[in-house]
Parts: sequence; C-alpha cells; structure tokens
Amino acid sequence: MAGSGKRPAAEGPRGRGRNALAPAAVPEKEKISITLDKTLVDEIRAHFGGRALSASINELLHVALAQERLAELVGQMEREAGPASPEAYDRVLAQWFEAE
Amino acid sequence: MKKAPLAPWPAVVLDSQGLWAVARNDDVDARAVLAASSRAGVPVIVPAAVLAETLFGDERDARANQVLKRIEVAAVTDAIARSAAKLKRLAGMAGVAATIDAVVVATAAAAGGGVILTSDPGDIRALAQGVTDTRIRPVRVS
Repeated sequence: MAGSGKRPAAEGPRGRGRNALAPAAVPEKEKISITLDKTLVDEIRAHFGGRALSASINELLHVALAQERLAELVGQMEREAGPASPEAYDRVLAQWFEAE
Repeated sequence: MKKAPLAPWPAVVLDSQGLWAVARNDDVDARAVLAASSRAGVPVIVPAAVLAETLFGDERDARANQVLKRIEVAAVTDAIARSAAKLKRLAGMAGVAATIDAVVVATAAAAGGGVILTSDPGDIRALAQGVTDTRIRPVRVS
C-alpha cells in the first residue's frame, strides 16, 4: 500500500479531490462580463497554463464557495454542540497516521 | 478553546453513517474531522450513490439535506464504478452494501486519498487495501 510511512499533506485550497471528481449535476453556464485586477488575471493565467480563463476562474470560485459553505457548516455544528475537543483531534489524527 | 489543527489529508469522504453523524452532529470526532478540513481548505465529499442508500426521500432527510447543501456531492463516473468493482473483487466482497462501500473508497482514491468517515472501519480498510497509490484511512464515527 502506497503512503505507508509517509505523511501526505493536503494541497490547500485546490485539493486534488476537487479537481478529479465530477459533480453530481452539470451546472448551466451563464456568459457575463466582469472586470478584474490585471495582476490577478495574469497570475491566474500563469498558474493554470494554457487553460481557458473562464474555466480557471470558474474552478477558483467553485473552490472558494465550497470552502465558505463548509466553514458555515462547521460554524453551525460548533454553535450547536461546541467545538471538538483536543482529544478528538488527537484521535482522528492518530487514525490518519496509523500504519496499515 | 484551541483552534482546529490543519487537516493533513487531501479529502474527506462520507459513507452513509458518516453523513448521518455529520447531520445529527452527535459525534465529536466527525466534528473534529470537518473543522480541521475546513481550516485546511480540504473538500468534504459524498458520493451520489450514498444518497440512494441512505436517504428516505421524505421529511426525515431534513438534517441530511442541510448538510448536503454545504458539501460536495460527487457523481459515480464510469471510472469510479470500474475502480469500485475492482476493489470489491480484490477484497473478496459482494453484495449491495459492499458495492456502496467500494464506491466510497474508489471516490476517495479518485480524490487523491483521504479520510473516510464511517461506522465500519473494518470493511473500508479491507477495500482500501486495493488502493496502491494513495493513503486512505477510515475514521470511526458512532
């Protein structure tokens, strides 16, 4: 089993999962005209190589909104039941790093 | 209270019990996994097949639906279905429950590995043995 002994880290906001998995429903597209900072556009173009700018911005917005939604969910769960204890974090991290 | 640590896993995938543990919000370990994932920008994913297995299709789904609005529902693509079939065979498992579990593990593999919130870590671990290039670990929920 690959990964044994390694401690793979999350890739940050563009985690692999999001890029590799298809959504359950294909969203309709809408053509809009927006104005962005040129420096931002240059950076997005450089980061995504030859990909279409629309697709790149679409993905970045998808990731950003998904993070917002997850943060809302966690916030709601913590308001209802309190934050997770340090012991809970220790337990789940131990299960992740557990050898096969 | 101490801030949640940054999740070291690339994704979180929920099986049926994982989804309900989040929906009921009565499992502190599930809350820890989601909080750490949120801090690290890690996606939380449920395969669409899990919804078919676990939802009722009526008002009993209300809490699960609240969760589903805020996480990602992933399609069971041809590639994921084929990967699940192979994992099931390698694990020597059969039946509908094993098929859904295999889809959960195959989805985690397609996501680059990650944590699976489940009440049945034994079966998930057995299926994950067939994944050779990424780390997949079950985290037990009640």
